[in-house]
Amino acid sequence: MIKLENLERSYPLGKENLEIEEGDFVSIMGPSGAGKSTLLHILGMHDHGWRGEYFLGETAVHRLKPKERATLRNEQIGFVFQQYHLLDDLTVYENLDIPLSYRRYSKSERAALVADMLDRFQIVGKKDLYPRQLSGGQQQLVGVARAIIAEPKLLLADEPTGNLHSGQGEEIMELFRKLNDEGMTIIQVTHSEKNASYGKRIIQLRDGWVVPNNSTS
Amino acid sequence: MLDRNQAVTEIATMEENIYDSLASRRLTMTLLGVFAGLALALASIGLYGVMALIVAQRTRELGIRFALGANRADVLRLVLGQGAVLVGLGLAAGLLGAFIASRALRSVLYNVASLDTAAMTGAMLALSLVAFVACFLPAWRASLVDPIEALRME
Repeated sequence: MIKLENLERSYPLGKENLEIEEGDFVSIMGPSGAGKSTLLHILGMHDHGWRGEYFLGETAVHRLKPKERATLRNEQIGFVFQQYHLLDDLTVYENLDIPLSYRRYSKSERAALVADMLDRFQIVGKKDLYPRQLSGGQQQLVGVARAIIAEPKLLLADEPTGNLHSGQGEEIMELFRKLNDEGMTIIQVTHSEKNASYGKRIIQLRDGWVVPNNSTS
Repeated sequence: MLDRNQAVTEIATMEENIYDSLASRRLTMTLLGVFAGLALALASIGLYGVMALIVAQRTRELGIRFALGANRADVLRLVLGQGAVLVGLGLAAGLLGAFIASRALRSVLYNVASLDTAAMTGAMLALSLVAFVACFLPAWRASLVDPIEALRME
């Protein structure tokens, strides 16, 4: 699904070659400053300051214009942040609706998808609450729901449990495993060996370079 | 009878005499215009400052919106929309103030309508145009927010 060839960024990434199959669940690990989040933001097409070749499916991302990249990202990628990054002034319902509003769904389609997601994540009762009224775990649950509401093929998560206590973290990781079982490709950045063990494969980064032959099953 | 022994001074046409007699009123009108222009400039700078502050405070939010799929046009629309609400409220308050002031001034006006629709419309259009420019610059800057930098903000 993802193929990087000689992908290079001045700092902190070196020249990367990487292949990730569809349906994979990859954990990127490594010390702080190794370039994990940078790699994730490049894959998520938030970061454009790189050279080399990046294929997402059959699409050569490196040949796309910024607008075309944004369209591709909206169609195929969901992103979960460590800090949740919910919009403080919007309710849970409105937060879930935001990605759909930028993807030109009709109003009725949006309402149906949000209702479905609230139901699936069992947060119907919290739809009118604001993020500050939720626990960290609940906020991240909304963050994950928001990331997958537009049905992306690839879910990128930057230390999704970094701000949660272990019980909440496990809940999120179980959710990731379930999504992966349903066919979603997941790439997460994590410091936790335990969280990494939920995935199928670990990629180690050191000083901006992928450490070869470091995989688990 | 004119006294032929008196020297004739300050010779002027009737137009010149009328013009001179209106000098003090003209000065008042000029000053009024200058102060109105200053008020417009100050209001525009104030609006620009408010919009720039709002954009700066919302940088993180705009970064999140970009990361969630918003494009530059979406963000431009969002910020300009917020500016339009402010301008709309200002214009409504101004219109109400002008209406009240014109009613109060009605008794001292002669041969002039207290509410000049054309002047009012012109002033509103001019103010809207200036306000649009004052809002557009911060909105344009907002549309150039780097999502990664914005997401790092707390």
